[in-house]
Amino acid sequence: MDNELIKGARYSSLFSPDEISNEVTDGTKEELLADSRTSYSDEIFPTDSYFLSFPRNIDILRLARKEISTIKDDNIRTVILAIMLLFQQEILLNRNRLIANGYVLPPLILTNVEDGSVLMEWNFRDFRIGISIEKKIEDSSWYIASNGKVEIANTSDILKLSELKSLIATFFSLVLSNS
Amino acid sequence: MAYPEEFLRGISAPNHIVDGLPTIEIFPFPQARPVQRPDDCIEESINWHDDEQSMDELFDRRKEDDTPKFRVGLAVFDRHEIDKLCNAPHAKDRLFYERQALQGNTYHGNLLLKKDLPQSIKHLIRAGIVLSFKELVSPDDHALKSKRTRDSILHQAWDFLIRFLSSVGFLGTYTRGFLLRVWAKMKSP
Repeated sequence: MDNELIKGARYSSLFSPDEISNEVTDGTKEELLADSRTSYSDEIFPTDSYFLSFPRNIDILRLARKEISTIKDDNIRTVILAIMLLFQQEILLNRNRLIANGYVLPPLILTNVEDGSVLMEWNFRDFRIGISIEKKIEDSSWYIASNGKVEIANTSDILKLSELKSLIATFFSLVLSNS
Repeated sequence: MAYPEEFLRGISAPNHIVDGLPTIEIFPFPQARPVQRPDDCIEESINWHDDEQSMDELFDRRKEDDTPKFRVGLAVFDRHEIDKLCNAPHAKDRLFYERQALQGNTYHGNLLLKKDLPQSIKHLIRAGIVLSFKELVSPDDHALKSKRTRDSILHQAWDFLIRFLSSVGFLGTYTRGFLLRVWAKMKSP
């Protein structure tokens, strides 16, 4: 499997405090590494080997965490896992802003399509983001669709695994600017 | 050809609605659809919302076990948004719609998507279609609205009858008062 995906899978180690401290800013690091005296220990806790659980209003992985086990294709599941971990990293990095500004984010939705592909959707009222992972991974693609009521252009492209991290960061930035 | 402002799509799978919004799986446009068309398009059935009976037609549909087919409800979409989408660069000459009245369903129509589009474009257009979503009508909402409509018509008819019969002197004062009391009891919950 691609080096990019192995990198993505490595993000699972973010959940040890040492790994987190290498990835986030000092302010957030202090909160995350703090002991149970802080409120964050009540809100962020590991649910299994890969995922943390966040306050519901920003826990965009709350459905996908359960749905990922329904993906039968190992390669597709690995790519989806990498994407979910990258989204999780974005939540961690933006956590303070998300909570301070009262963001309420819809969940990521995973759908097993009849043709064997898996569709990941992030749906808002006026725009939608989607990633389709095909059985032939190099045929995978992504889209951003808008109804014109927000300043987002309709666009789509082939999914390049080498650019996955920047793509997810772009999606997250778009959402924070428009929701 | 005249089209109404809205069209309807029945929803049978609960996971096609998440947090009140439909997923793009509500319009799958599978490549392997058996119906072959001369215009090389894939069809997805809709009902044109010409009048309230178009909703009745969908809610009255039954599966083989006689349970309601669209137990989740009906999604209502804005045709004007589809018109905008049809003129967008990524969907122009690729997305269309039509009427196709069937026996037993004069409201039937289709959304049409050209076959053999790149997956990224196909998904983008499907997402655009679903962005025209306006509201979800559940079976309970529809039943309540239908009852209110029927009650309203019944009361209006009753009111007219009483007034008419009174005006032509057919009803005496006592009879008119009796009928008005009956009418008041019918109106009360």
